[in-house]
Amino acid sequence: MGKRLEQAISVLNGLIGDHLARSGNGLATALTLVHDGAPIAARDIGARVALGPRAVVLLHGLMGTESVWAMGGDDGDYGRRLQADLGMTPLYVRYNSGRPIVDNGVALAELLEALVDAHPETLGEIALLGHSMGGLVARSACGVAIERGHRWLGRVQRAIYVGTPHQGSPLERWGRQLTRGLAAIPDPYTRLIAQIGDLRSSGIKDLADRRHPVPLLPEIQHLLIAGTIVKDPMLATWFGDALVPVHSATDGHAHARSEAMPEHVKVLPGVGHMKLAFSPEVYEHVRAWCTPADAGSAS
Amino acid sequence: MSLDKQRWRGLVALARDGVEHGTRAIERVHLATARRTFAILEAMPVTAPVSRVVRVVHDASVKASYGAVRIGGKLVGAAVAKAIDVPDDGDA
Repeated sequence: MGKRLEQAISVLNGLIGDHLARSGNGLATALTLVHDGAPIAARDIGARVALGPRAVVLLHGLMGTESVWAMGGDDGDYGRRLQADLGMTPLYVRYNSGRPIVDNGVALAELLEALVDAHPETLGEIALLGHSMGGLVARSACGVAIERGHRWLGRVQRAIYVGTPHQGSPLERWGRQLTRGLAAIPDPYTRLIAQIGDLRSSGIKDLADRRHPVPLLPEIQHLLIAGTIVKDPMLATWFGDALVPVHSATDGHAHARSEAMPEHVKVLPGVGHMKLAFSPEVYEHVRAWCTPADAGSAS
Repeated sequence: MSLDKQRWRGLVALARDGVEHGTRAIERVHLATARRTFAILEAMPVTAPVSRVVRVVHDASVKASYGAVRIGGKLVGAAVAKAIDVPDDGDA
């Protein structure tokens, strides 16, 4: 199946994926691991991938597929680079980004539990790496794992959120206000426009939420990476990475004009939202975060 | 069913949904817009009696027209879905 076709279907899923899933439409994407562009069951991953003791689970963002990580070329793919540099096994996840984030969280939690069930001895450590909405899905999955007593959560030591709107996206909030305003006007044409606008998926609408229902769990080390499209701090405050403001991407820990950042927060001037998924600058922080504490002292 | 066929069927279902919901939305706008004009005509004693009759005929024909488009969409969708399900040489 062509990569472009998969991308087109992922855009469709992002736009109306909840409708596709509800109506049992064959275009709805199920949350799954993907290897070489094709879905693969958790129990079969060991036969296709050299599964090591450390794995990194990569989650794309809204309307994306796993190919977002390779937009800067295969050499820039964080998963491949972590494999080459730190021996971590990259596990790429594809999902229907139009479904409610909490539903994708449930599906991800079940997938990771199935993965640990299938490879209880091999899989020692799991790192979560989410771009944009992918980070919110990872957070939701952690909440599900606590509720259901999943074993995989105990193997997660690190979670990395790249351009993740932890405190929502103002664009969606404006979109919500706009459609409400248009719907309130007693005119058939503006109501039609409001209805068309309201067709957007639950996944998109979830991005308006200012607070994620699952807190950042204290037992996991979290790295929050934000980008800004402009280097000027004042403008960066307004525009963020073009889609997500700095305060949202850092879950309120920083803003574009912050001078002192906490250790687990990185703000990268000049890196836009999409580029955050394949930027060498981001990768340097990801690699440093994933390097075991004893690796530095051993070398 | 292969994944490709599943997706083709999904595409057909999506087009059918689009025709169904799209025509209903446009029909609502069409009727609401016409209602304004008829309301003005029906407010005037000279045109009121005739405009009431025209309105009934207009509304009925609008509903019939959009309904026919929906039925046509369903029939075409069903025919295409049937065609997709026909096994080709590559199917076992």
